Amino acid sequence: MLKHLPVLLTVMPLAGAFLVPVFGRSGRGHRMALVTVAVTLLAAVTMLGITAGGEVLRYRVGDWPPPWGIELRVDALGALLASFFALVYLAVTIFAGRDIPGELNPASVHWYWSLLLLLLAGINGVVTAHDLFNLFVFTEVFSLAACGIISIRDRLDSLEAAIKYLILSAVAAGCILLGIALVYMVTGHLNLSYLAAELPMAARLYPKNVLAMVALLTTGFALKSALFPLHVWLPDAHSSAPSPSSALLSGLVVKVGIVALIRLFTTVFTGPVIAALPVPVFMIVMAVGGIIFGALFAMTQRDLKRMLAYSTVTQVGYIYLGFGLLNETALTGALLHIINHALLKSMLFMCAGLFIHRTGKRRIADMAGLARHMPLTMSCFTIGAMAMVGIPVTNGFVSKWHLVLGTLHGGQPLLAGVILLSSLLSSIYYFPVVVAGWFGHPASPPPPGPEGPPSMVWPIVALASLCLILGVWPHLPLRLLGDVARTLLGR
Amino acid sequence: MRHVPALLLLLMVAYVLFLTMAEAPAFGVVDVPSRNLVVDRYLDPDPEETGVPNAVARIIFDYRAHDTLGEATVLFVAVGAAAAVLVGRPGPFATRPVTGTDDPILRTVARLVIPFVQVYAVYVITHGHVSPGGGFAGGTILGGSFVLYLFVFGPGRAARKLSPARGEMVEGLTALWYILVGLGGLLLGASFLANAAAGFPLGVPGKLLSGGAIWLIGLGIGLKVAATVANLFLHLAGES
Amino acid sequence: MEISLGLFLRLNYLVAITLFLIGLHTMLTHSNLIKKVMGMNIMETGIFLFLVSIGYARQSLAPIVDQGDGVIYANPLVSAIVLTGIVIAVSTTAYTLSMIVKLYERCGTLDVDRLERLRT
Repeated sequence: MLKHLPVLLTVMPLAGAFLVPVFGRSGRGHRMALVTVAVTLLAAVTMLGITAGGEVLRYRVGDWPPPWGIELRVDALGALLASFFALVYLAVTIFAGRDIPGELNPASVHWYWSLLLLLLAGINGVVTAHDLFNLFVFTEVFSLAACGIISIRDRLDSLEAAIKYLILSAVAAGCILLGIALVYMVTGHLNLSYLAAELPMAARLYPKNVLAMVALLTTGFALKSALFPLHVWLPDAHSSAPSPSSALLSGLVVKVGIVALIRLFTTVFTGPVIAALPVPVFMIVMAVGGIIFGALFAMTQRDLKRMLAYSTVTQVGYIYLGFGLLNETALTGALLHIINHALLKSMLFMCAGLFIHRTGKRRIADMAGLARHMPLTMSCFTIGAMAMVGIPVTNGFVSKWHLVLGTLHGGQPLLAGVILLSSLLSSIYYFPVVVAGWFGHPASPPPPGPEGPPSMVWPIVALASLCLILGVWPHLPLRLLGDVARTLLGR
Repeated sequence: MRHVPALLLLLMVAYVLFLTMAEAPAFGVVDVPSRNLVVDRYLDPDPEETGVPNAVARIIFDYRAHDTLGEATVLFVAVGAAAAVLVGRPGPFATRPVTGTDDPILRTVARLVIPFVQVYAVYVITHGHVSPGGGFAGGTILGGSFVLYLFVFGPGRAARKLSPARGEMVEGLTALWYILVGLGGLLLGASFLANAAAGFPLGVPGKLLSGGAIWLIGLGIGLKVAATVANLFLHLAGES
Repeated sequence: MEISLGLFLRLNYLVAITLFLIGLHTMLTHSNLIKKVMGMNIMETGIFLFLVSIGYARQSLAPIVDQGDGVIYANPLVSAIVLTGIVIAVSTTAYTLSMIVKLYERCGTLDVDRLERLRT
């Protein structure tokens, strides 16, 4: 059974999602989703145990050998990402059990659980794919499901945001598919390893073709992962979705595009041909733009969830920065930041969701004095804010530290300055919220009662403690990711 | 004026793509990079590996069946997301709803045509492995017969034939069928979605009952696509 | 000169790319949502035409491989890719259209710019 885990990682959530409309109509959907996510988490952690020593799991779907059939591969990076993504998923699914039925039309709640599982299946499909077209298909699965969990909220702004997201996502899909067509035309392969072997030859015969292909694939995945200036869909989509959806979209979905690009750039687009292209420089420039402008826009927001959404633009910029520098320390920092930001931003969005669930308000100004009524949530929000700024003992500090070191290793002290400046800017927009929350006076206190249902409070507390644990003892993921970064860079 | 950046971007893309196309491999010849050992095995005239002569069916239901699972999932996502969005209609600007027609000619012709369309659809679905067509094409035809019924007799009567709740159930079960066939390969000792390797009987190539898992998956896909088309039209016609 | 000759010899590719660009242009510049969806479909059709052209060879037959010896068949892999691509495009279109239907019934407009003005 163990050897089938790579495919089961995708198939289990799919089966759960198909079963929900059959059996999950009468309120059972949530429990079905919980069980499925828990089993998926178990599978991912088992694979992490197997791959942590550097072994790569290869799986031939349908028993066909690689150039003919589809191959799946799970290395330590894939298993680590799948484990953390499933962990965040579990927390968010527990949280959503009390939040979602109140926010949606009762007739569509069971579809929410189904779409949630489909999104997980799409993410896992991309993480495990080792075939370009399979990667595209599962990219589309998660893109459509991501729109689905936005538009399911019966409000005009969610609908508009979802349409905008879906149309831009279709442009991205068009770019990716054309890129696949171009690369298939000149190499005749879709499996990533075989593509990598054929590409140097193809690049000599058809240089412009390879150039256009790299540009199209990069643009497509960058659009899906909201790299500045292709981030225009993100703030609307992430702020107007139901809070559990926002947590997943900001925490996981934007990362998947980056993971796909990291895979492509480390397995396929390698060697002297690609080294001549200015793609990394381009990425660094865009990342710096995202870091600075995301922070500036976040400062001007009055809506809590919108502020968090613009902060995601900044954080995506960090990850691209570490990726574009292409040295070991920076790539380790970027990979660690993918995990850290997944934990952090989901936690922050769940905090915001709990505020909104409890008080019915979503403006930053309305949060003044909330610590009196919701001390646990406010504490977790504070931990999240500290980690976003990069204060020691939080996990955000560790990844930013590696990113700064990576810029210095790469001989780019100016970029270290950009990271520090952006940290300053994030403190300008996160700390007033925290200070007002602890020391402000509420204009109108929320209705008396407990902080919130335990199933909404404890997932937040669990993720916040995990952020602290990873901040104090980052050694385990760091060692693993250091090995991964060395392997990816081929050293 | 506000379109100038978009136009500039487009001109840039056009320039790059046209230059690319000018040096692409030649069109319409056999000697191109994409015709390599991969395609040769797909086009093997001896159908012993998969048991079917239709090379496209070989690829989508056997060699690359995992992609097709993703594809069926995309259809499922679209139905789910659309059904969830269309709950809570109609709004204040709703135009006139879809109703049936009273025209006796249309009703009689529809009654005559629908059974033939459905028989044809079943033919296309069940013969997908030996001739052009298959689950996707046949399923669309089957769904089309339902759409014709919906437009002629109105969504209310159509929903009595297949209610949205039951349609969604068919949708889920047929998608699940795909996974079950795949897991069958796994339980028989081979990999997920394995066909001959797992010991599915391939039958005599060219006959109706041949191809093992290919035939089974094709059947499920046909029903699934039909349910998808029917569901989407029912929801868009405002029946939920 | 060389470029235009190269393009002329690959007329199928040229037309496919032109369709792609027309679709992209429609998606980026038109403010009407239905036109955007049409642009999306034209763009994808362009890509499908391009893919099918890659697999075509002169006098090739549909890849049902029981038509005798010495026959050239079209590349079946691109047909399979196009089939998958079409299904994905149809799903995206159906979902977008259902959102647009609901949006229209709520606000009475399909124009993105007017929606923006309605909101402020």
